Amino acid sequence: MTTPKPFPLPRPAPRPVARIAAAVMGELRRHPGLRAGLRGLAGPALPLLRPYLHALPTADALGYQRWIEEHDTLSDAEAQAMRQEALAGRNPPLLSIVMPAYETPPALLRQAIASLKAQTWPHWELCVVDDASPSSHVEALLSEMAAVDPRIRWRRRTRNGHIARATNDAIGMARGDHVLLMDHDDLLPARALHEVAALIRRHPDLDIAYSDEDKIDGQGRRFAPYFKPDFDPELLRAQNLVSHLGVYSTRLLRRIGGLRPGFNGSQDHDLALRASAATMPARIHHITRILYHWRQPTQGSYSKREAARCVRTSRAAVMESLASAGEVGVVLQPAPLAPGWHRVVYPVAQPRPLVSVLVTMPVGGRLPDCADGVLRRTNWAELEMIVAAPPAGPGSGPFRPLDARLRWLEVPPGTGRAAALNLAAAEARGSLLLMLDEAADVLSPYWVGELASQALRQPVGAVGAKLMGRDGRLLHAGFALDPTAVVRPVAPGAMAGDVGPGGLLALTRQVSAVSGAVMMLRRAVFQAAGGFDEESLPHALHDVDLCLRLQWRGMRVLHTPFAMLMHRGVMEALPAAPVEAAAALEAARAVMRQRWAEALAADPFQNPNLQVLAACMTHAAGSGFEWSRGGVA
Amino acid sequence: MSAPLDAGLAAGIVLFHPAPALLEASLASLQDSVGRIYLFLNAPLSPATRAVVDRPWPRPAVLLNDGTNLGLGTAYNRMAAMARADGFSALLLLDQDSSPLPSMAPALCEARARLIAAGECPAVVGPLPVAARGCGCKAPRCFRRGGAVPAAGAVPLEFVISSGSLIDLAAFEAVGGFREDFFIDAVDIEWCLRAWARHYSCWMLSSVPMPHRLGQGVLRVPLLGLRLARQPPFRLYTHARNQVAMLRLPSVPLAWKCRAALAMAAQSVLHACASGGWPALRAFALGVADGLRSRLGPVTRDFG
Repeated sequence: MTTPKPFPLPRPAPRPVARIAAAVMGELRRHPGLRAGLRGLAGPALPLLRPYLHALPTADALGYQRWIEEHDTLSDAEAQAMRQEALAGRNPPLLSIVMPAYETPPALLRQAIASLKAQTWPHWELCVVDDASPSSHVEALLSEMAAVDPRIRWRRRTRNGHIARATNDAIGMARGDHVLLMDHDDLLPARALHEVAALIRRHPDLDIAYSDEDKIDGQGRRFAPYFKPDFDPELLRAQNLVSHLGVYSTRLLRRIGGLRPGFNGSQDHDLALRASAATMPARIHHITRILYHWRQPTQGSYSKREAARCVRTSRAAVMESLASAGEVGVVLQPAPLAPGWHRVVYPVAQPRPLVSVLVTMPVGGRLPDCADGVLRRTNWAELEMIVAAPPAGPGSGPFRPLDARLRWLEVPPGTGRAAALNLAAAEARGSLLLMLDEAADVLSPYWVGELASQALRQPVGAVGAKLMGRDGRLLHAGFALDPTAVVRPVAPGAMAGDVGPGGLLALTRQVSAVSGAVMMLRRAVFQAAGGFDEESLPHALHDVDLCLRLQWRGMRVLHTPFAMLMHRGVMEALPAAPVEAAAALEAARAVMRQRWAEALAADPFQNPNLQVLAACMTHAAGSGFEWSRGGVA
Repeated sequence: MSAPLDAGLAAGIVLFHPAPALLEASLASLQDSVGRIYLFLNAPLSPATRAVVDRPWPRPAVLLNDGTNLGLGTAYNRMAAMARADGFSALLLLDQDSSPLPSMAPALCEARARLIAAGECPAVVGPLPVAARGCGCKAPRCFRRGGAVPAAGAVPLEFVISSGSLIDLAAFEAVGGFREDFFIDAVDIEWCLRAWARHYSCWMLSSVPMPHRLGQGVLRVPLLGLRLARQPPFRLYTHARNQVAMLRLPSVPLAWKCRAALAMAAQSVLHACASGGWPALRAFALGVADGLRSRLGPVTRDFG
């Protein structure tokens, strides 16, 4: 067994440079205008600079380097133990790696195969198809490799058939029950196959599995990690969530006919869409480890036109998948913050349903701040607004708003928010309920349309919007579950234009819970779930509890960044003195920890490595952490 | 044979002192191919035009606005909002200078569907504008989009003229409305370039011609062999003003800005030489000055 030659990493950067770079990058992140201006100036030089940008010692790069060293470095002892374990096991699953090759630079092909030979799991076969490369070096190299390792098998196509046909030929050669897709110049870390085999042993009926991934440059520097959530069909329509390392059962691949040549460029996205539709979610698994290093070319060999073609084929694949699922009238748009990924716009049937906007206020007697935005700046005429609040003072009469769509619901003083919303929901006439914080302000007229188009879909239980603060920083983009605090914000402090890791803030996706500050759901769903728990959670976390109950009933909770609002006040759990509010919040947490202990332990839609990486980045930015020498783990 | 009705398609026509016969022809050709017709009145209707509108059409038109001239951008935006609220997914924009054939709307709808299936995000699909027979005018020039390739039988253009264009209303929400302060001229150019900047695309169907009347005739430039659309000073002013205003927009590509600046300089000289000197030159100069100062909106200057 040979160990791959470590890839040289850059020399340690002096601390002042790292600090200055981190400070500059931080400033740029905070000022989108400045960033846009600099990008405009640097535009012509960007293709030349791009290979060097990720090598800058920024907080992100240093933080990821730190994360690799602390959490993704395989020691010799660990590797040895894994090898012994693999050799000792009975009936080890044979893993078939399928690899199309075309004009691969010899050094890169050697490195790719060397990364396989360095695996701690020895039970694999490599099925390579040379897609009629004009140069003879691919053929010569594969012959040489196959001669010394019988696990390597290869064949050559007589005519170039492009990536889909070549991969299909390689799948045809596979003898294992599971196939792993690998590109001809990429690398697998030494533990990759071991992790896949362990998963297959735990789930013998596995049909699809995928891992986290990152990118690697010509100097062996790893960057741009993508820590993915567990399988999310909503997110798969927006981007290729499966991608690398993709593992498919050979049986399933043969049943659906492998890859389709018409979708070259995004043939793997098309495959993931069709394969996931042909199996059941319980047979799709996610490995929360970086098991794939995607090679990025040093030279700008990937043209703009080629990238645009890949995006087009990806869209075509998603459109076909939507049509197969019976979704009619759906439109696919470029996601504004990440145009290479997609926004799916679902139609709303006519006549449009009435939306009941439910607002609670600590004291009545005035219009809520959100009223102007909802009633006058929203492009959705079919609205009613119910404001639940106690009377303004003793003897004061009911408040009479001028807009007939606004109704006043008097609730007894001291009523909790959950109870007030339940009372308002009972008064609502609309088939859609929209819980709205009174200080939320409208930024775009189409926000209700986006929320309604998602909430009306059958598998969706509740949908939440993106909420920005007055300072331009992100307040809410869905909650991540936490065993201690119950929930924590996703990407706190992000700016409106931030895409987030893996498009977290730019794409519609499933989350475990959304805030009741902006939450839409069908009235029937709300009633079937029994509304908010006003007994145990009168003031706080009743929104999270409802979301978890909806998911327990098999429904999805979505966050959409395409409905964005601004919160003009301070997000408070309840209108009370700070001490009482803190006590009530802690009481609510205790209830939630007892009720949802299992769910809080592992959030399927939030990769645990994201939080660890964020801590590494913070630490790297503030400390003297430097590039270290080392190889691919 | 009548074209099939597209339930997701509405048509919107902007009217500013239209010729009754042309409006009648447009309404007749749209009856079987769109779900609803909106007429936006940017001028009061003459009795003859009113008679055409009031005829018992199978699909009576919905009249919008009171005859006050609010400009093209406002008219398009109001009709798009109306069509979206009424549940339509696309809007065919027209003005009184165009004569759509009955087969045009279904052909554009089919092209839009083909483009979507091919993975494109079309913001707008338009026909090939050709000079209407007997009008003595020239056809608008088409600018191919650099770097984009034809797809589904359609050609990617930098912009398609608003009249005759099929607007995708979901894309309209994402791209934003037409610039109302441009009033007239270049509202379509600015919107299409903004659509491209937001990763949508603009397409022309070369196989579907649409007779169109541009300007009030043709100015021929001797020796150079150039042909320019003859326009009154008021339109030369709005053209120069809005083109200059576009120079500062980030959504307008640098190449377009350079081309527009050079073209405007040449046009001002050519119009001044070919159509009577001072009024044309004055209109251009005022347009450039107001464009630089961002003095947009309805035209308040007097051009006689």
